[in-house]
Amino acid sequence: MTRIARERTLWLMQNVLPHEPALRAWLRRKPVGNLEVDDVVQETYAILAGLESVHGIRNPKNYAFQTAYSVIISHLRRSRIVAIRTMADVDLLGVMIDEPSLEQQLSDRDELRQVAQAIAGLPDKCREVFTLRRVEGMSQREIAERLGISENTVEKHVAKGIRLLMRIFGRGGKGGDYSSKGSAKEASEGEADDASGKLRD
Amino acid sequence: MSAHTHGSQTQDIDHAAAAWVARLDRGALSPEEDRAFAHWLAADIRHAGAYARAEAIFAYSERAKALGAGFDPADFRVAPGGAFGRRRLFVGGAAAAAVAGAGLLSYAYLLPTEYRTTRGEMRVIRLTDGSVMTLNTASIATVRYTPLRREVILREGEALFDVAKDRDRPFVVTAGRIDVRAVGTSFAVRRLGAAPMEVLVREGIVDVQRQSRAPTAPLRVPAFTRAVAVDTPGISAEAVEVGIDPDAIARQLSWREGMIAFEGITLGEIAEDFRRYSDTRIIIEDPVIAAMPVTGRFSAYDPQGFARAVSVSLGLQSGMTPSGMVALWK
Repeated sequence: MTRIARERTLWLMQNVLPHEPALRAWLRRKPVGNLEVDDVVQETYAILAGLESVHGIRNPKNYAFQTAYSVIISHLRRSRIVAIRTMADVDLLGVMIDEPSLEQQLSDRDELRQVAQAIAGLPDKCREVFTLRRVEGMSQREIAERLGISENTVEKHVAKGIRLLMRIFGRGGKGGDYSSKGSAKEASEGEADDASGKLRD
Repeated sequence: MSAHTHGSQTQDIDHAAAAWVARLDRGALSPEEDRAFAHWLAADIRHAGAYARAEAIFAYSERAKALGAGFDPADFRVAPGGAFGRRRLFVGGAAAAAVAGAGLLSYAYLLPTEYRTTRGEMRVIRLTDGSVMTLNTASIATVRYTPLRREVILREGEALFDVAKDRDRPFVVTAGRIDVRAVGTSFAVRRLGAAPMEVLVREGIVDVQRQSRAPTAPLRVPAFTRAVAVDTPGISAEAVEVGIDPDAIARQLSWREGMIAFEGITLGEIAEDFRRYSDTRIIIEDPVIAAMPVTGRFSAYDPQGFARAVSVSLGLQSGMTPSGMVALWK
């Protein structure tokens, strides 16, 4: 895989990202061996990004969950120590996922506000750069010229912004769905997200 | 994916993924960077996954564009206790644009306006007479309206024109030295580098004519026809392919998928437009809401996301109907 196609990025954004908190919660409810939720999620994204076509996928949420399930199964097979107990746990994972409820759909309608809040919560300089890039649509080069800083610095602020958004979105932008293995640092930031919408870094 | 004992591993991978996405957003990679990127991606499947996820999240943040230039982060900072700071949600760049547009209207007849799209971008532009120009990726067009003529010069790229009927003011698209003239119809013009100019007529009739001091008779191109015009003396147009079936035309115009930007297009029209891209229709029963103009950039595949963005910016409600349609209401 080289650079991901724009079309696939948008597909992941629209069809997988919104279900990531549910996927993580589901994976956490059924811990399997010492598999980390983050690892399964990343591998799931890798598989979905690498699919030749997604046209045939009618229910992306279901598909993402099934992919995560297959990731777990293949790891269990490779580990060779498939305890009966573990397999029973995995079988429970097999129950399939229902459609998002009306409530979920409605509660998602503040997505734009969520993006706005996330940007507002970025550290000062990072927020300024991110706003110019995302709200005003300026290029990194134009931002560098406008702010009188180097393009390298702009790139670093963009990277930092993306990193902080990665922590928020999909992992509990609505609170309470933080990574199961978060370090003390990450956990404290998670609380900060929920309480004030601000991020420290 | 062997040892997962270090909790910081995910953070390290996310860190690297975010750095690559930011680097790619800055511009093309050097050959060395390209190798390093490929190497990093191949090193661990989680790298590829974290990278894909970072791209998706960065794309998601693009929705912020709908916030418009008036975005003030202070409005969205969450106060302790969870309430909004000032709670002054913006009322849309659309309103501001409408005010500015009113002032500029009289000059629109005199001043040519240039429209551009970057690679991967697409724009739907409502022209002052009600015609709609849809610019494909990496295209440049200049629009100049006079009391006698509606002129568009397609400098590069591809555009679809849905022309409002006006018998007294022909609509003329010029690509190179070829003029494509319509009264009221729908047609696409393509001008890609040195390749011959192409006209695809979806509805109505257009006349294709080479600019010349001694003009030859125009070539009349009816609907469901593709004409390839070669800009050589003596030949006004050639290689006319008639009877193209509607599906083929739809395919040729499939570039209209992807991201689309609206400028001053009403919600009712946009709802119609979304129907072309998605089975999920947008239902607007209130005519007042349907008449609201919207400016912004949205994914053509995501009517729900569009409805959410619009509901926040225009103070509306949005949700799904039991039949799976997206509804907008007050």
